[in-house]
Order: sequence, then structure tokens, then C-alpha cells
Amino acid sequence: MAKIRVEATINGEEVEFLCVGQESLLEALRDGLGMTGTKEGCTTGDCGACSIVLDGRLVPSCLVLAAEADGRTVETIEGVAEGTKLTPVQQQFLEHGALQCGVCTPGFIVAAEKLLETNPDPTEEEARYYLAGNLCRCTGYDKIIKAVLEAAAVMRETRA
Amino acid sequence: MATVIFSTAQRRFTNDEERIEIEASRVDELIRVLYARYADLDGELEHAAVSVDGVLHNDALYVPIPPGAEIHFVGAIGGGSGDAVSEALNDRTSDPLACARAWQDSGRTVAIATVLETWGSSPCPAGSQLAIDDQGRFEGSVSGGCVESAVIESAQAVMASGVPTLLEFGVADEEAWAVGLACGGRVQIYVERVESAA
Amino acid sequence: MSDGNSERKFKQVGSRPIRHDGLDKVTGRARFGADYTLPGTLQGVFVRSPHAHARILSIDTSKAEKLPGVRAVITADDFPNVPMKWIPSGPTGIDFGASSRTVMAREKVLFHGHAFAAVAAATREIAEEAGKLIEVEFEVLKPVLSIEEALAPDAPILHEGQEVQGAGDKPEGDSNITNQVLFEGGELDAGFAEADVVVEGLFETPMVHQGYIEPHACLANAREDGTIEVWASTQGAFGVKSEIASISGADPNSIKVTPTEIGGGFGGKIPVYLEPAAVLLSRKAGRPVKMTMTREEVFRGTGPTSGSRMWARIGAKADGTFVAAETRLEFESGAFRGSPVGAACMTILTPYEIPNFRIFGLEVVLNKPRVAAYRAPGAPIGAFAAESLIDELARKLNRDPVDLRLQNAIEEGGRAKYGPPFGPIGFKQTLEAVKAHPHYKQELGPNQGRGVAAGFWFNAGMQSSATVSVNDDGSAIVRTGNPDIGGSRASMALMAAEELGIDVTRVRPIVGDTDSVGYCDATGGSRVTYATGMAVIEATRQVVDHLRARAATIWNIELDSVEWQDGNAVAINGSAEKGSMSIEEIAKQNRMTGGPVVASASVNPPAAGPGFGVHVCDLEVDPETGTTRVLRYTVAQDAGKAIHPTYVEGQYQGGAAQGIGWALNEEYLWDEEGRVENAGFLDYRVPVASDLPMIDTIIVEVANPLHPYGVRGVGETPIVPPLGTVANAMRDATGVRFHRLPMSPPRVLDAIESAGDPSKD
Repeated sequence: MAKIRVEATINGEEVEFLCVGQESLLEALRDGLGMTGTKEGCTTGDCGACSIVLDGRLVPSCLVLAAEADGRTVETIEGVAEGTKLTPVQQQFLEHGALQCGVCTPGFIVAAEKLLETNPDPTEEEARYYLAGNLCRCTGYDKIIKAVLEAAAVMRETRA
Repeated sequence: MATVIFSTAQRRFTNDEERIEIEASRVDELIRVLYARYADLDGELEHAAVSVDGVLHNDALYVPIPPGAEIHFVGAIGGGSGDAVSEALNDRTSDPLACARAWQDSGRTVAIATVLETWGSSPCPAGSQLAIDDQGRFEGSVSGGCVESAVIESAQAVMASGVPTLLEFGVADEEAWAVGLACGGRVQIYVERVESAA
Repeated sequence: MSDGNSERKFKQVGSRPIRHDGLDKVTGRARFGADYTLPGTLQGVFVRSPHAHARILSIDTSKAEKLPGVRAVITADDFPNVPMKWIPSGPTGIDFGASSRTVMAREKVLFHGHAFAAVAAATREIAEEAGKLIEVEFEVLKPVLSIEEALAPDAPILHEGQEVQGAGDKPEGDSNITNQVLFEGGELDAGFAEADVVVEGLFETPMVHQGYIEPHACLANAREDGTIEVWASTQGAFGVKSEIASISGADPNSIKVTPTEIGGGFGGKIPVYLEPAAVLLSRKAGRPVKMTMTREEVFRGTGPTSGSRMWARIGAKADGTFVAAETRLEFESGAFRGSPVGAACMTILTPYEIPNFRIFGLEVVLNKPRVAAYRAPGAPIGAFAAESLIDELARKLNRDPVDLRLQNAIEEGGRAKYGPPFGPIGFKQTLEAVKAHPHYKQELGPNQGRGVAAGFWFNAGMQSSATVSVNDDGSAIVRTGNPDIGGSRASMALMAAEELGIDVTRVRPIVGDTDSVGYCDATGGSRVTYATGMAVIEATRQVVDHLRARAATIWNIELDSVEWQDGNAVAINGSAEKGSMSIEEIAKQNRMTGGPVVASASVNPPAAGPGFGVHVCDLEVDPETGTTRVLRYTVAQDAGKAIHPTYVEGQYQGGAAQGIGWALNEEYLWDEEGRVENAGFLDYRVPVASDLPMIDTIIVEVANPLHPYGVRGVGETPIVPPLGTVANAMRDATGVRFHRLPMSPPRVLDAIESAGDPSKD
């Protein structure tokens, strides 16, 4: 089985890896590259735990073939913080206690960062609908939404 | 004096008596007295949680009983935790010989398996015993669980024939994961039927 | 140990520090079960039954073993034959033979998806290919797929010769009934004769799944010297160790289990499904073996909770006093015995004083996955029936639903239906809190309705150990063995910080493996903050005594002239002129004063004081589509003492959300062959962010005298009231009383359209 060579920019770095045809980008990231921050919850695109950003678009990496990443940019949870500096979303998740078991958290943070990039002042409803593709079974979403809205406020304040 | 109040389920074994006053300073003592008084209650209480004046204890054998206390035996509350695990593996509270006697007294045929000798590592030392009755009940242990069912099977034949048998379990290292002692040891077990005193 | 004091002013406890493991969790660094690997790791995969009920006549694995890349294949023959024996312990007890057969079928396959073989290979794909090459001969049997079928006189019997546990008249001969529960009090007929109003109903709930987002995962390495190391996503590493030992036959002392971070459990990750097989595959292959479940496998092959059929009736006097109640609960246990029908019988109607009652329940085995614990197992199901009927009583008597409950609420000294009296409890206080909350006074619009319901859970005690040590810079480490599912590590650190009088950021809490920490029972049963917290407090108090002794040595005075205040040793009485010494100053001299400062403690305390909860829900039903929108939801619950209020609120909100999903959408759907039709998150519909509003929480604190800080377990109670709460709100919004869950849009639409007959769904 000949492997496919993929060159992609992952979290700002040029990365080269090999994959087989039917491998998902999720598998390539986790098993091939050891980047286990992105989680597998369902492999059918229903839970959002595998959320990444591909060429600026929020996607479930379990439904993207690894080979499709060739020549593209990939952003994962590992690239969200800048060194040791957490983003407002990450910081607010900690302060609001917006995680209990934490397995859905990487997916939520990647999705929330994207939400606030496209809509810096979402209403509660807009935030809920944007994040409806990320399942959480522990929190009931209350503190997650509060954290996201607070992060949005912090970010608007910083820009002002 | 403590007052024991029986549940509906327990009253089947107490001639429908609802409550009784018993002199006992500790739960294990209380249980022994209750078993002596109500033979059918035997075996029903050790695994229950015990409420002493409203405080519910799961592992209650040595809990002291203050004078005038009200006692209930309740299904223990686990809420989704398997706490019987270590109990099953290290059952220090079981007394196979006492069980054997009790079963025999209630008319069942009983066999006893005794560990005669062990080599290498074996979870149960020589002298460990397992009592088995003709209805498949068993108490005690002679291994970490892996050869138990073979012993019990053998015991059924021994109970039927009355002829005792010597079993040996234990395999060479390369077969250590087949039925046998996974710990790599060997064990010799003697199985005999208990004859009643004539 | 107990201080029983609720007057203490806490300095750290009750605050909301950022959890110590939080940084790793928001950066993706935290490692969950599937995130571990070793060099040479193989992938292990189960081969699963295509039949819901069949005898296994033969299995031939030879072709599978020859496939290139396959390193090991196992079947039941590789496992010791552990006899099925029921060991009563808890309302569900334990049966190692059943646990063993759940991991790997022996003699029979008992549900669609039941594993009967496993393969370890270089990749998952190869292992799955090999699975297809395994030749099995099945004798297909008629499956039993409902409680009705299980109870039918000519029903196929799943397990011949099984004894029926429990109370009541036992059936004659072989049956699928495996447990019966009975509680009685007073005079039932006389009680009902006194009643001016009687409400009665038949209720049904479906099998539902805990829905944890992380599938089961483990990595097992059976080493050349016979020792075994396992990394597992589990609620209890010590439980995994024991189950691996009893199911695979390994010596427990050769096994070390490291609990990884766990992505949700809710009771479903207490049983083992993978680990014993992974261990045997690893031994056979001579390589580490990783096993992870797919989401489909999670739905088909793990432990959901029981579906049920329930009949109940309650009688009350015209003035609202409850006088009599009777129930008959029938629970599905799945392929093997062990349903939570016992706990359901203990909790149903126990919150209320009812002098005459007969609570009966039974469980049946049938060809569905074996049920496992799901957050307050059994209690939400019973509460659905009880709280729906109490709501009907309130309507018939024209009484406010909170007031009717207040009138009949059990208090300290009142008797549970299973016998013992309650200690101090906060049921009335939570009812009052709901009544006083602004939510309760909100106006409702068209197609909107409000529902109220109550519930409780006992909260377990059980065994825990903790070790606390002081570093030479005066900071501390707290070690326990409870996987942190909801933020418990932070609470352990808070309790240690409180006792030491230092800032919680100076305390590092860690969760250890089975070699590094003393025995701890699983994280579950709402017991960690209570029991493990107790061990932490005890160990820390010993550390404080050591620190006082070190100060006494340094000052050369008597121990009882040294007090501990806010992180400092303070000389008192005749030696007061010595002043005070901080923990940092003392710790710097540890070496000189006797060596490291370390202490351990272990506990096995009685069951925690029960936590009562009351929920209010406002919802709106769209009469054209049958969809429901939850508008407002409030949870009031007695926490005893909230150590970390953020995580207490989190439990309230999370449990409520699961209950809302159970009430409105979640159910296992089956075809006639016994196959789950909706084995994925698309069609097994759990609540998403857009389904729910903010969930308001009211933390009531009625101290639990059994814990030094008054803590009550809070994790499970929140899922008990929601089924009744939402059903009562639906009744209010639509005029229809729903007897069947879930109240999903097609059913709601159907009910609204045939409205006028309130006894139909």
C-alpha cells in the first residue's frame, strides 16, 4: 500500500507526513503526528470533539481525508495559545469553570475562537447556534456560553 | 439493648416478627444472635448495609451499637460503585466450615475442597478451604478464582459418588495463561464429601 | 470523623479557584485514554455478534490468525471460566461471571454486538479484516426484546437455572426474572380507604445511554516478567485492577493501573469492557495493545440504563395529606442481572411521608446490552412516575405543586420507605428556595407551561485514602486515587489548603495510579468530595500536628504550647514570646527537625447525608411541529457545604441537561431482530447548546453532620427530578399527561392532535 506524502502548514509550521488513502486528518494528526489534543468522539461528524480549522474554515477533522490537507493550513488546539499566553477564550473557560471532564474542551475552544473571529459580538442565541455542533455531556452548556460571551467582551474591550 | 426492625423481605425469615430487642454491643455480635434465633435468616444479613440510628454503614461488621440504638438492615447503597470486588477476592469474613455445617443441617449434601500444597506463587495458602453444596452454593476459596469452577464441577461428582478426589492445577510457565494458575504456581486440592455424624 | 459544625468560617473552602488541571485541558495537553501509546503498540478490536440471542456452537479463528499483520486472536477459551455468582453489595451487587461474559461471550451471545472474539493487529483495518475471517457457528435463538416478552409464560429463557434474588413470591421454574424488591409499611387497603382522591398511572421509559463524549479506551502491556501495566479511561483504577484479575485470571498484585484523564463516565465507566481482553491480547502477542471503542460500539456494546414499565397509585385526603401509595416497577437488566430496580424502589416516594405503602419492583434479563449505572441509577426513572402522579394530585386538589410537596415533605427523623430514619436533610429548604425564586413568578404565554418536581440520592461513603506532604518551600502535595471527572481535584486542594492555612495555589492535587496511592473506591456514587475529602482532611490534620511538633522542636517548647493558625505555628501560653513561624520557615528546616513531613489517612465512612433537589422548568410547545423549547430551568439542591461552588453548580446544570435530554429526545430504537437502529449521535439525540437556556442554580446548605465541613455528595441528585419536571411542564403547556418518554416531537404532535383523552400519550 503506497503512502501519500502530504505537506501542510500546521499551527504555523511546515509539516510533512505520510498517510494512506482512507486515513482521516484526525487520525493523521493524532496517530501520525502525535498531536492528541484533537479528540475523537464519534468519527461521523456529529460531536465536534475533532474540530479544527482548515484553510480558515471550521471543520470536523474526522470527515476530512488526511490527503486533503496537502498544501493547506491547519489550525488545531495545540496552536491556539501563543506560547504560554492563553487566549481570552481559554482564560474565560478556566475562570468560569466551563469544563468538567474536559474532553470536549479542545473542540469547543477551536470553534469558539472561530466564532469570535467571524462575529465579535454574538448574542447568546447566536453563540448557542454556532456551537450547536459541539456536544458537551457534562456542563449543560451554561458556563461554556457564559465563558464565550465574556471572552467576546474582553476581546472587544482590548480592541477599543 | 438495641431494637432491630425488620423489613418486609426479612419478615419472611422471622416468622413475621416485625421487631426485636437484642443485647449486643457490635454488629457482628448482633448478627450472630439473630442467626441463632432465626435460622432462616442465615446468610441474609452480612452483605446488607446497617443503619444505626439513621447513620448508614456499608461495611458494618465491627460498628459499635450504642445502647438503645435502632437498627435496620438495608441493601447497601453504592450509587454505581463496585465495592464488593475486593470482598470477593479476599473474603476474610467467610467461614467455609461454618457454612458447610449450616448447609448440612438444613439437609443439603456438602463437599469441602482443601488446598493441601502449593508451589510457587498461589493466592491461597495450604489450608484454604472452599465449601460447596449440592445446589451450587459455595463459600470460601482455594484460588484467585481461576480454578474455582473446575473444583466446583469436581465437587458435584464427589458429592454424588462419595469418593474423594485429589486435583492438581498448575502448568508450565509457557502455558500459564491457559486455565490454570496465571500466577505461575501450582496447587494440590483435595475434595471430599462431608459425612454427617452417624 | 465529623465536626458537624456549620458555623465555621472558611477561608479557602467556598471560593472558586481555577482548577489545577485546567491549563492542560484548555490547551489540549491533558491525556485521555486514547492518547497513550508505547513503542510497538498493536490495535485491538472486538468481533461482535450479528445475533441478539444465539448459542455459540463453534469458533474457528485459524484463518484470522494467518492474516499478515495479525499478532493475536482470543475467544472465551483464553479466559478462565468464572462461574456466574451473584454477590449482593449495593442495590445492584456484582457477578464476576457476568462481568466476564460481558467482556467476552461464552456459551451464548446475548445481545446484538456482544463480543465473542478479539484480534490484535498492526492496524485497526487489519484487525477488522481478520475479524471477518473468523468462522462462527451459531444456533440462532428467538430473542427477548421487551419486558412483556421477558415475562411471557412461554418466553425464551436467557440463563437456565438462575436463582431469583430478593423478596416476594418467586416464580416457579426457570424465568427471566432475576431480582424482586419489596418494601411495605402500614396498612395499604386501610390507607387507600381513607383517601378522598386517588391518582393512578402506567408509565414507560426507554433504555438510554450515559452519552459520555469520550469512548472507552485503554492501553495494556503484559510484560515478560508477568507484570501488567494498563492505562485506562475509568472511574476507578482499583476496580479495573480487580476486574482484570478476576476476568483474565491474572494475579492482582502483578497489575498496575494508571487512570488517564476521563472524558465523562456517569457510572458507565465503572464496569470494564476492554481491559481484560487487551491484557490477554497483549500477553499472547508479546506487544502492547491499545483498544478504543468507536461511537457505534459504545452504543451497542457498553452499559446503558434500564428501560422500564411502571404502575403506581397514590391516595390523598382532601386537605392534601398523602395517605397511601403502591407501585409495581419492572426494569430491564439487559443480558445479565444487575439493574437498579432496588435503588428505584428505595427512592421512589421516599421524599414524602406516606404511612401506608407497598413498593414492589422486579428486573428481567433480556437480549439487550447489560445495563450499567447511570447517575443515581434507577432513581430518575421512579421519580418520573411518582412526580407525575403528585402533579396530578396537585391539579385534582387545586393546590400549588410546591405547597403540596411542602405539606408532605419528609424531615429529619422521618422514615425512609426502606426503613431507617433520616438525619438532618434539606428537602423543605430546597422547596422553599424554589418558591422564593423569581423564576417561579414569571408570567407564562400561550403554549407555555411550568413544571416542578423533586428527588434525592443517598450518596455513598466507601473507601478512600489520601497522602499529604509538605515540600521544603512550604507548598504541599495531595495524592488520592480518584479520577477527576468534574473538578474534584480542585476541591481536594481546597480542603487541604483550608486545613493548612495556605493559599490553594500552593497545594498541588494529583491523581495517582494503583501502585502510588492507597486504595480508593471509584469516582461515582457522589462520594469523592465527601469520602476522599474526609481522608484528605484527616491526612492534612496529621500534617498540621507534625508541623506544630517541628515548631516546638525548633523553639524547644512543649507541643501543646503550639497552635496552628492560618499557615503559621503560633506559640501560646507561657511560651507566647516565641511569636510565630510560617510554614515556609518550618519546612526549610524539615531535614533538621526529623525529615520529610508526610501523613496518610484512610476512611470508610457511612453513607453521606442524602441530597434533595427540586427543579422548575418553563417550556413552550410548538403545536404545529410538536417541538419543545425549554425557556427557563432552575435547580435548587442541598449540597451540605459547597467546597467549590462553580463545580457544584456545574453538577446541577449537567445533571439537569441529561435529564432534559432523557425527557425530550433520548431513547434506544430497536428493530425486530434486536439491533440498535440509532447507534450514533446523529440519531441518538442528546441536548446541544441551542436546545437549552441558561440553567439557574440555587445551592442550599444544610450541613451533613457526618463530614467535617458538612459536605453532601451532589453529583447524582441533579438527574433525578428533571424527567418529572419536564413532563409536568408539558402537561401544563399542552393539557396532555405524558406517560411515555421521550416526549419527542412526533409523540407530542400525536398527543396534541388526539387531545381530549388525557389517558393516552
